Amino acid sequence: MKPFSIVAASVAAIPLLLSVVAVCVLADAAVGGDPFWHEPQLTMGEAAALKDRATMQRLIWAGVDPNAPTHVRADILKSHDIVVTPLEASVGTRTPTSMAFLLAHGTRMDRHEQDVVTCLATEDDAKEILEYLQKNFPAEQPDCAHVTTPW
Amino acid sequence: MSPHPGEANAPVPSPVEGRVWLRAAYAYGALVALALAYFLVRMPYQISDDLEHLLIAQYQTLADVIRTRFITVESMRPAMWVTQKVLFDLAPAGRYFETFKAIHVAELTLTVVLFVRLLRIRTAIDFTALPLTLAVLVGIHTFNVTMREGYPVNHFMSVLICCLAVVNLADAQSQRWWHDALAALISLYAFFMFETGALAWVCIVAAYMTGWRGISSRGVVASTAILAFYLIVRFMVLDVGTRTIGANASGYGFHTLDTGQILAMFGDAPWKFYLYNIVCAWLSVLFSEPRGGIFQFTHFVTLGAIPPWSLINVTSSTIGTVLIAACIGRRIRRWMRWNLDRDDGLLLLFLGVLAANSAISYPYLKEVVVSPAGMFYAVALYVALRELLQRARADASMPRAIAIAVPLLILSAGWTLRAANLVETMRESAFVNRNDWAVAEEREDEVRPKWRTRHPDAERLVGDLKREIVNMPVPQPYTLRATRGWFDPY
Repeated sequence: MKPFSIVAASVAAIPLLLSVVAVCVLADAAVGGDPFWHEPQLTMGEAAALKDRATMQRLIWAGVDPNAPTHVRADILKSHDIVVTPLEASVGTRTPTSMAFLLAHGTRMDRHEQDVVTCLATEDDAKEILEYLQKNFPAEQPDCAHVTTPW
Repeated sequence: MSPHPGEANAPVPSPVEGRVWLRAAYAYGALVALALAYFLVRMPYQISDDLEHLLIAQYQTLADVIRTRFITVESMRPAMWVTQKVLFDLAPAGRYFETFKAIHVAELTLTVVLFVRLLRIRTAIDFTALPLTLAVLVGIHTFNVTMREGYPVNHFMSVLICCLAVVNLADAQSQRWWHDALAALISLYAFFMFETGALAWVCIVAAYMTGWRGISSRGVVASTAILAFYLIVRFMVLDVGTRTIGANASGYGFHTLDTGQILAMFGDAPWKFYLYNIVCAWLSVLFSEPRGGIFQFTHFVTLGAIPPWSLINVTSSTIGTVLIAACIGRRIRRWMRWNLDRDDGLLLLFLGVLAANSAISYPYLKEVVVSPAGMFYAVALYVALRELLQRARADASMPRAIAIAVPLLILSAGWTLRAANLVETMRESAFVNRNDWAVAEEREDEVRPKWRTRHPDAERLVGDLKREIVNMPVPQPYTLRATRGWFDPY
């Protein structure tokens, strides 16, 4: 190999990989693929756990019940699959974003559900959620030793 | 047809060879632009600014837009408002999103084409430097944020196009009257579109001073007269003024200061803050540090935890800047005698735009504002890389070649990753923007309580836009957790 070839390769070889990727992206897109833009199908609980308000909105438009317990796949909330309500799943985000959205779009939170999410938030040290609940749904702190939580 | 000063000594490729490499360069540029466009059209615009500008375009007539939007708070951007209004009205059957995205893609393509044209690829060595140069163009942090903007027209990219257009006109080998006329029209549009549009004038003057004569002295005078007219209208007739201290939050040291904190710290001596911003804007383009006025990398160092992306940004920029500095160093004596070739012109253009762009950034720091300087940084690095390659071909032993190749490999790997980072940030922005649109009405109620009453169809427009955007598929950025440390999240 000539010395100049080494210098030229050090300049161009790696950036040229981008063009290979670009060709693959365009070719895949041309045959109907979604390269690097695949949207996974989420349940309401998974969308809540990922702060994905747009998916929650879309599911609500599609008639999905935002109160119904749903399946949440492993590694979204926990390392294993679990079944939780969207409100419970929203605690996993540690911010009230999903919770506020759900409550503004038809989700009901009865006393039992409020106790569950409060205890989950306490256990996860989700201060923002505790503050949100305190401000918008003032109630006595439940005895979490006697409240069954999904995790 | 006269060559640029000093160009007579440059090796001249055969016409056939020149055409082959030029076509290959445009094809490569088109490939990059198309691949980025694939992601761009799938990314919803941010709701802030974008929705309000669409609602203004809906409830105001063109005459109203010109009358009421000629001046707004400390800014005068009538061409921006008129462009948005005209495109809004031209959008077929309410297909606003598609219309503005089509314009955005056209802007991106034009930017890449004009950029490649400016590089004047004619030889194999020129082409060897092109992939890395384009990676720098799209990978630099100032372009990354430019790509994601849209009000809904991407005016920051329009500024890049105006700068590239006038520089390409100035670079023409022959003078034509219409070069001057077009340069004057572009100047008029750029000045009245956005404050950084004044950089088009900097480009025209810098190109003329370095001996580029595609735009004649008449064109330079016309552009200067338009700039003077703009300044008189802005500062003397309409008294619009300009952004001053405390108008925006801005980075300082290791943190972002809000407007109150800025006033408390610098209210008595604003010049200190302005000087800080100018120096930081300058450093940011050259070293990717600080970012938006915040010495992010330095902060990570003090914490003892440097994320890979931050190290990559600073290292790749620093190596690139050292190469440019070395290239300038070898030419400085000739510059003293004002004996300049075309590459000198490109380097001086970069220095001129960098200085002017940094100066414009004095009131507050925003990365997108220095995107013209970032773009010309890529041009300057191209000149430095090509020169290095030419020297390596002429005289390189194996040990010397390896010694040069190591930093070049780090440079090219770093910038390639930064270019890939653009896609990752578009993915993340798509997710964030779509989520914001899911609460569009609630957001408007909070920010602009009277929005529903400004036009009888305002609620329908917002509802339609929201439905369209919420139904757009976007990826879940959280699915790429393993790579997060490698991609710049800012």
